[in-house]
Amino acid sequence: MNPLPELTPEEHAIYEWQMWVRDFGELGQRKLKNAAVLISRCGGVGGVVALQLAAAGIGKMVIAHAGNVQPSDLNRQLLMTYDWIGKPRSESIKRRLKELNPRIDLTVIDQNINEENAEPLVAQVDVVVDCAPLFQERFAMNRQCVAQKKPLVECAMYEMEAQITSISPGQTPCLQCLYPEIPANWKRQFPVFGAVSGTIAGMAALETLKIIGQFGQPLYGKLLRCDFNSMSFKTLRIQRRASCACCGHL
Amino acid sequence: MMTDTELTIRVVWVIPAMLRTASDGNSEVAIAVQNPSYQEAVKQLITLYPGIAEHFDEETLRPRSYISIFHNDEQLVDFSTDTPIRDRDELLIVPALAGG
Repeated sequence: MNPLPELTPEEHAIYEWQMWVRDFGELGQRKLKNAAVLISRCGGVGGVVALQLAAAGIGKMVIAHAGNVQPSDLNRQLLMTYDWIGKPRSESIKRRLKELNPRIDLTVIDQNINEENAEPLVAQVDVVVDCAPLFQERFAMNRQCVAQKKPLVECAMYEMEAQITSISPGQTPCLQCLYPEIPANWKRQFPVFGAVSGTIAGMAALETLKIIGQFGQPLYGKLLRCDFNSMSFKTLRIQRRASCACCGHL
Repeated sequence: MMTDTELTIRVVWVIPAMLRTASDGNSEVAIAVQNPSYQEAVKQLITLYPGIAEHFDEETLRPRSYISIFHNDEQLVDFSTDTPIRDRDELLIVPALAGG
């Protein structure tokens, strides 16, 4: 195993305040610098996850997001800018993240996750954060995370509700334990405030930091359900399915 | 004298935003259930809001595969539909979401 990289004086200056967090410290910061994360889609949720992890000093980030910036992206997708409407999202993502953290090793591919690219993309990283708006992409990533035994932060929202769990393959329920089949009635377009997608994204970034930094208690085996209308938050216990087509063999 | 099986209890169903068109917009629905069990609680919910029936198997009354049911914060997995429900228990419907 390679030794953790040292922090430069500049990195010490930038990350000083978060290294004061108990159980994280300089060792946690070095683990973060040494870590790679894949974020699938960089929209209302994924964009804020990417911003938070770039700000926190993740060493390497791989982002998969296809298409051009649309006007309807701009109410929540904080890595997209008005001047970039009609141009590739991937370029806007690169530009914004590099403005915040020029040290990051950043790969942005102009594709969404599919059955073909999931395997090589997951292989490049230590942790995956799933922020995709389609279940086909989510299931493909879940399958690869299980196959490669990589932790997966699974987060999603709809209207004023959101939910998040962290998956440790073979140890906790996977996405298909929770939902064995792709819902037929899910619509690609959904009601969303940026403040809702951004809030669950902040939680997903925090889960990623805890998993990489090995501190706190990630939401392993638990599903946090948030109702932002009533501001009620429930931590629900979830179970593995012995019959799960994805992880039942582990 | 009333036996246990004749008791009427009150159960609260928590309905997620995605299913609220079928529950007249209600996020919580309190129902009275006799012979308290999961099965009876589902039947009562469907009687009250028939639009919700499509999210449950017609015969077994188990949730469709894109829905999880939580009984007082505990996920019901491979469960018996006779699972007993107590007075003031909560049944929470959590659908698969992919908004990102």
